[in-house]
Amino acid sequence: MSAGLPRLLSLPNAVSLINGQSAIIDTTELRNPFRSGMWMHSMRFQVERSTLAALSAPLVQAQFWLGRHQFSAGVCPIYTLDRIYNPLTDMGRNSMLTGADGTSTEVAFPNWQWKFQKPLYVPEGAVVVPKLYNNSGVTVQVRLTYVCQEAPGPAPQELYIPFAANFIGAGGVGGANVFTDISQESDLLNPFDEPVFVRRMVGRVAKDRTSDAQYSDQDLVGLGLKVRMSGSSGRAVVRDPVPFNHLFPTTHRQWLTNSVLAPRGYYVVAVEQDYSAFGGLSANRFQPVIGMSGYRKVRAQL
Amino acid sequence: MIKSERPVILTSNEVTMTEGQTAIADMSRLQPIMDAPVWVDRINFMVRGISQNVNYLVNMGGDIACRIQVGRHFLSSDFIPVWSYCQQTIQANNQNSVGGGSQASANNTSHKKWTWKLPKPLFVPRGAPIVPLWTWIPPPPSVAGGGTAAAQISMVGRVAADPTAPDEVDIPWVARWVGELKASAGAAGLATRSGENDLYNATSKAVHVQRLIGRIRRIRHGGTRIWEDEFADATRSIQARVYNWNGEALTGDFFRWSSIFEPSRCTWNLNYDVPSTKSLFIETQPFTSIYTIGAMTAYVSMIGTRKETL
Repeated sequence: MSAGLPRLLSLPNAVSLINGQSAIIDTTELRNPFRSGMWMHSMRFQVERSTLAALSAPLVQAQFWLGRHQFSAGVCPIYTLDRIYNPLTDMGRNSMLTGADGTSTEVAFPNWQWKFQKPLYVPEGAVVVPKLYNNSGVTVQVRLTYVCQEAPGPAPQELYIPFAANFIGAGGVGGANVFTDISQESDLLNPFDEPVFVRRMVGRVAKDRTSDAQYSDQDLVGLGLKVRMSGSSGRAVVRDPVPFNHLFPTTHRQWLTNSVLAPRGYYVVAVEQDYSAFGGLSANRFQPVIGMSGYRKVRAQL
Repeated sequence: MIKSERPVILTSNEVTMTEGQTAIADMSRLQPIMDAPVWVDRINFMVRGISQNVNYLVNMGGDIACRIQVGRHFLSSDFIPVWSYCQQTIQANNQNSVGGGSQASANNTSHKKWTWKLPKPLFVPRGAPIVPLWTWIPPPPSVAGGGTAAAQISMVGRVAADPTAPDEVDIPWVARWVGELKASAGAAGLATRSGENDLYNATSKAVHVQRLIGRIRRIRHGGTRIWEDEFADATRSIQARVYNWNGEALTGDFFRWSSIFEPSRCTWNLNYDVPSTKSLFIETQPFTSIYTIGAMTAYVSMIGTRKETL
């Protein structure tokens, strides 16, 4: 059984954000163009810096609304919204390769996506409103694309609203001795009145080279990170300190939890960090970033 | 009592070919001779260079093309480059790489591999031949003398627990467009468009399109030598739009190539029916590339299934 006409909706131009800036975007091109509802399956992000040679920053964050329904309580780093689908293209890793002429010409750039576990129904004329925030330290250009499909027929009685939450640890510099970042109850929180189905948690370690604000996803220091986690009931979720890379394996960085988080429920995560073995990286700052994503079910009233 | 299905792999012999040549595999190796039909879930392609030519450093997934026939049904109307069957995975050798598997690989023994997970399992009756026909399509512009390449195919599936053939079976359908985006070093990026016979449903049934796969090759050539850049799929200056046989837009406007074909998988999942004898179209607009030193070619394929009677 075929669904309706597939349609990509994309911002006509990249959104330029200086560091510390947030932007509400002209959503004309992102509005449902059909004379019926549409299904939204995923969204895609591209992040670039003005200089081609440098990697773009992961700490570009986003927040979305459909009508009165928020996807998250605040902005979330876009690279924790979903798993890694291909380590070879994640973080624009290809851009570290120089072009064949010896310069970085026409190199790639970070591409991320957020595939929804359940398609989101967007009623006729409605729009998923994005808000972008740049906390990367440099100016970035962000491109946003929605992957949609016409949804002929009656509107569903219930909507599956995507959900995301995150925790960004303070982190430390290379060479720093043992310390622990503990999330607040308001970080990995379900702030809504409905239970949230948590499909996955995603863990990253951002490495920020302070000299030029180049970021990467750092596997190496995962050796010096251990994670414990408990739920709002006080029960242990991850009882013993587990190496970061065991919880969030390098190839996909996800932990498929497939669990339900009650209204106002939360997880508290403690990340023990020891960068003493990485004294040679003292010009780098490392930050653990943990996100969770899923969906919640609401009545179809925007 | 529930009968169990057991796994099975049917592997063809390795065939060799030179540039422009066609080869056919030994059909008997891909014929299910078990006591029951076979459901094929995946098709694996393996390609390698066997006679070294250091002047020919290209990705052979775009060069070596295969056309598959199952019983009386073709899976495509033409030869399809093997990487156009398969979405990109995390395998390094799945990349647009000049490494192992290229014609100039150092020891000529490393295979380049691609896996096509079929949109729906393919029912192959007992004794029905699966016929892969191979060819080597040189990339434009061609430099002759690429040497010799070898190709092999495997069908991965299950021996059916129930030998009864279904009334209708899902037969894959693949169509492709290969378009020149930039002719040579220093040339401008071209406005180009797929034709009616490219992303075309040539069957008599509607094809349910699972996905489009879009890839970019960047090839440099100097004198008698050609070689290829890695990781060209996200080349930023190329913009395209996609529309259907009625001219209805599948992309609102010209979008960046990598916004259409998300680079980690190089795919766009469509879930869309293309009626018999209808086509999808893709069009690029002129562009100025800062990649000035070679040619660029687009590879787009349409993957789906149609219902057929055996």
